[in-house]
Amino acid sequence: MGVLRAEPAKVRRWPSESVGLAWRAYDVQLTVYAVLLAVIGLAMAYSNSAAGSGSVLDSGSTFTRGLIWALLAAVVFVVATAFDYKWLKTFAWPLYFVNLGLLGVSLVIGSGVGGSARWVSVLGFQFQFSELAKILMIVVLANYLARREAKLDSLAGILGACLLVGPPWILVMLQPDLGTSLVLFAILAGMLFMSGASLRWLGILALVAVAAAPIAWTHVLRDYQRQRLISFLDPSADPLGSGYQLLQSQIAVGSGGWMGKGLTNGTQNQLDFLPVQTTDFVFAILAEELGFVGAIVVLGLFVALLWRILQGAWRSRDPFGLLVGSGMASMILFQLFVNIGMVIGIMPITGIPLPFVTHGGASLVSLAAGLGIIQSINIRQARAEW
Amino acid sequence: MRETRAMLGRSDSRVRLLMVLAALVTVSSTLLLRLAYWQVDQRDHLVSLARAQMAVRTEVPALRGTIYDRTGTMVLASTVERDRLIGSPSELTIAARSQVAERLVALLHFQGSAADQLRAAMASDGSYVLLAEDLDAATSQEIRDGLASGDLAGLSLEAQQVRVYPQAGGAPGTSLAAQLLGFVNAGGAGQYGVEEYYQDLLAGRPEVIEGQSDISGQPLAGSEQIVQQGVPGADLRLTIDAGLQLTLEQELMAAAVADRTSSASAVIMDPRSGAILASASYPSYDGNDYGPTANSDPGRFLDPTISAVYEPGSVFKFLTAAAAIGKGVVTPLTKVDDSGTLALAGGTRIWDADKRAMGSITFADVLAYSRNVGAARVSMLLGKTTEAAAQVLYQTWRTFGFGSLTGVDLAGEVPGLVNDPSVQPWRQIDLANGAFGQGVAVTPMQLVTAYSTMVNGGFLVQPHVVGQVGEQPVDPQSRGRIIDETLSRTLVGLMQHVAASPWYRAGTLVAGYNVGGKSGTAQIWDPTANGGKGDWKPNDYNYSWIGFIGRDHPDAVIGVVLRDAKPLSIAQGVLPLAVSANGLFRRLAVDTMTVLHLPPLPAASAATPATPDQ
Repeated sequence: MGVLRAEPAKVRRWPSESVGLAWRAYDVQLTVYAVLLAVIGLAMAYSNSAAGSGSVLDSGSTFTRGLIWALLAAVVFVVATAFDYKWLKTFAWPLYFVNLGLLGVSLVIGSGVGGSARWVSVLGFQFQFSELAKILMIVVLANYLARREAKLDSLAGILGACLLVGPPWILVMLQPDLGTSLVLFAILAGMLFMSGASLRWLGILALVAVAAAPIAWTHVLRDYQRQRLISFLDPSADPLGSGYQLLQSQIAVGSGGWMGKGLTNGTQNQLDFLPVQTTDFVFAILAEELGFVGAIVVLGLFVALLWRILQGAWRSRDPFGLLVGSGMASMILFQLFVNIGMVIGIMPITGIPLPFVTHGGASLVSLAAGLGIIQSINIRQARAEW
Repeated sequence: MRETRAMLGRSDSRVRLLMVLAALVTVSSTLLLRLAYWQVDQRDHLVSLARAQMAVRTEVPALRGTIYDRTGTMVLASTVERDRLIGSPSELTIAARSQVAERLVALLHFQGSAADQLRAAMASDGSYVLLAEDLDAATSQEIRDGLASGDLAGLSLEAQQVRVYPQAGGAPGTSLAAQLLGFVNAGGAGQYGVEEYYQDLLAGRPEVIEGQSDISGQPLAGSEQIVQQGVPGADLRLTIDAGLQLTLEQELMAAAVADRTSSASAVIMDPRSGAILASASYPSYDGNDYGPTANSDPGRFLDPTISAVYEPGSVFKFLTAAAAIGKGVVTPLTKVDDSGTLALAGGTRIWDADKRAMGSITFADVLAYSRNVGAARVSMLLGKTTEAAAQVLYQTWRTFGFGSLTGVDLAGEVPGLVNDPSVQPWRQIDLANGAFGQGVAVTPMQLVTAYSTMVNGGFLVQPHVVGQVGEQPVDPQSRGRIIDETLSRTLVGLMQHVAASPWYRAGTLVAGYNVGGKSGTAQIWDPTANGGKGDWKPNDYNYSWIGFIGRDHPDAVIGVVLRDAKPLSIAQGVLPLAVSANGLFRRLAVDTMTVLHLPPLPAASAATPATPDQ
């Protein structure tokens, strides 16, 4: 008996007690909020499909595709929850290179609007690998930072994290995808902050980033990206171009009023006045059709969801868990702010989807994977006792 | 618990978590506030923006009213729907474009530059190019058939309203009563004449349909509703007689050509109602094709009978007569010394046209022989001073409507010019000149209106050309009696006396009718002559005859004005025309009586020319 260092008692207890323990540690609220947000996203997809000529349930309609993606996301979520997250630490470095590989593949064979290379067709489904890259980056960064927790008072640890994010960031910018690259920044900042990195150094790095902004303006940003920023600062500069989108979005949101026009009744949506209403500007249609009340509900769900993620992270005994939670929270909060902010004209227009709600399979599946990992962490350790 | 914290190895992570939570709260409240601003505060404004960009407004123009002559059977102007041909070569292949173009050239019988233009238009990449307008029904049908059979493609027909003036005018290349009617421009607005004056009635009100459209402008089914009921354009029935108008235009052209005038105008009016039976000028234009006139001579759109003033000369002596007899300072039989010439204050002098003295003659003969000196002497009797006399004469002019609009229902009327002595005091020469119609600017319409008033018992008539709007008769009331009936009868008699004088008798009188009137021959001041100092035109004169014809009483007043006419010879005061103004009047007078179905009185009862002592 003494030879084997295994712990038979634990093994014996697994089937009976461990499932119950796991269920108690499972964050049901978190899942419920995410599912509700995804359902609202599906409702918006339904509304959009109702505007088209064919049936809502036609294969290929926005709604049908959304349903298929939602089912896939549910499967991914369950698998990720069941999967022991500790293996992620083990495979952090391979995952990092897989990530780089996927982004590289996107660059080579990807397609997208206006010559960008974002979408890769997988089994007939358009998939945006950069969405997955965000989750993989969170995992890789969490592993890196968790292992160097004690050394983060120094500049070296912080710069190491930055170097880690560097290659994927460059690949994303080459697509070019300004939105995702900004999200990567936000993830990095949020995770460094919550990992306990020296605030002094973080502050200095932030200043360096601000100082580098003019250089980025001339050398990194593309014309259309500059145009969007200009139109954000002065919407009337080009009312039929970039400013048009903002104006239509404003009309959609504003005309919704308190209670909204009702699902499928939004004229901005149904009559196609608002471009990209199913993706980046889905919130404008949501505000038009479900009104201020609907918008409050959605914002409330996001706040609750983020609260659960942060709470779970905080209670995690494993620094890796804390960091994965921080990364997910940073990502969702940033995307929430930038996406809704752009819809309501307080942020420039960048292609950042609204988590769960935006119709886009890659985003939803990646989020499901991320939340699955969080649940995996939750159920694989007892909660911290308070 | 402490152990747990120690195990995590971070002392400040709780603070950091709180900071993240603070960020979360900040972000969500920022979003919420902004949403509230748009969705609650700005809602009404944004809703109206949403409506505005969805709204589509369609106007279905009402069919413009038809214009008939006084019989209600002759159409002077009407609107028809014709097609215009629109090409969309962008829908066709290059080969098909030229093929369709050739088919069209043959079908439309285009030649030369028109054919080249069509070929060029069809060779373009346009999606909406105008190929031809005003297609006749047969051509439209051929194109429709071609499109149905697939023989033609990339074409569409659009209905357009076209104003047509079906009656030919008296002169070649004109439509009947073009200057009186005006025309309708491409935008559907009446220009000049009746078309402009009655624009609102004729045009009616378009039906306005509002609906909602999607982003492509396609109206949504069921969203359209009529927000303004259309009102069809009203039909007008003029007082103009188409037959008389045609005759008038023909006569005017003949006279204008024979007399080498710059323009010849005439107005025929019912002196009791003010209804205008015919009114025309030469040269005129074709209302169906006003474009060339707009390019070459847009001034021709103005109707000279209401828009062009001239110095009337001796026809104005009847205003002097009305003032002097009305005031009782002379009677027709009052002897007036015609001295041939008259020296006036300030070293000025006037002459009779022939510069001959006829001695002591009656006032009636002063008019009959158009003595300037006599008229001047009578004008000086109007008041004790020149100022007082000027006031009387000026007020008489104003009372008869000179210096103000007659109010005829035609666009473009001008009031003319008569100088007010209380603004700019008249010298004696001004009074004398005014007595025989110099120093004033008047329109033929004003003269005919004034003469109608003199002969109808003294009522200032309201000249008008529209007798019926839709089913509603229009009968403008006179603007009141301005001279008493006795004076009117006297003036009628004086006019008959003039017409019966040896100078005019042969060319003016019509057997079986009472005829009267007054001539006017005026030199024309040319301000550009003599090196800019101005001088009288040596060979051109303005000739007028304003007169009446009737059986028991004046039935028609006819004014004839020949501008810049060239007399056959020029001797002292004798300036004969190939077609004289009174001769033209006579021809028109006979035509008018025929049109009005007023046959001549039997010879026995035909009134002999009235003598002034009657």
